Amino acid sequence: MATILAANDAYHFTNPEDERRFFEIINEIRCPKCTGGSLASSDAPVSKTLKQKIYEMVIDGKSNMEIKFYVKERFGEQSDYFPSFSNNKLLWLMPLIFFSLFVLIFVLRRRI
Amino acid sequence: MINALRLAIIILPIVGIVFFVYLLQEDQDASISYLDKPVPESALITLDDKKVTQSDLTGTYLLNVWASYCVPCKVEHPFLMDLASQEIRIIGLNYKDKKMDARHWLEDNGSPYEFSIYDFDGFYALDLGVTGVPETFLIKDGQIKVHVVGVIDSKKWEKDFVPHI
Repeated sequence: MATILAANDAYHFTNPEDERRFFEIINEIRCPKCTGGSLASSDAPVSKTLKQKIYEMVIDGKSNMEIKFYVKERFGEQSDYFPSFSNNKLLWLMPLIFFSLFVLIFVLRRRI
Repeated sequence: MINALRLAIIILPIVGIVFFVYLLQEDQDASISYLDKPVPESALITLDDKKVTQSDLTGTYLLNVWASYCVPCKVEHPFLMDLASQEIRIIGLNYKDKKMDARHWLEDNGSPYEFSIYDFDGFYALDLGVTGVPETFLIKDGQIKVHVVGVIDSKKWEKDFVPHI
């Protein structure tokens, strides 16, 4: 059954919430082969298999976190378009640091 | 005040450069992340329709992902034959291939493999974090120790595999 679905590349859901979740996840995950695009946009062989795997995990009732953990464990932290804060503090805080520095420079300039 | 401004002008680009160097290094490290983990368990069959048992997958061996349609695999093939002749155990993982095409490929080119696992739908390879062909793993006592994407040659062998054997 799973292989037939994969071959047709059609995903059938009985529950609209599952369907919403599936498309949300595949849009938030990077294609493992072509790092410039999302999994949803990719037709690479590995992406088809990964989408099928995610489809099966959604049907099985796995949470978004469990599914993303499966993907990140194999294809790296960068496969998530929304990297977790705890593992990427520098990444998340850098814009704030830059902004503060610019404000600081601006204030200093005004005082000169 | 002007000194502080000058300092900021010097420090800002440095912070920027450090940040991007950090990001670039992150990406390289993250490209292969499924290491020091157990080989996934699954009901597997070989290209010759035999069942793969857990005892077939014990000890130290290379797991080479290949396919008959894969041109780089042909480039890599002589080196794998070379390794096999040095009594290095290589198990194949035939990826998303047609069984007959894969068998013919081995008949035509020779087989460096003890046997080849037949992964028609690519789900076993997905569990290993494979993104395409060829890729090669070093497996030691059921743990994934090395994962190299792309063709392996003597240089990569010495650099990436030998230190772990």
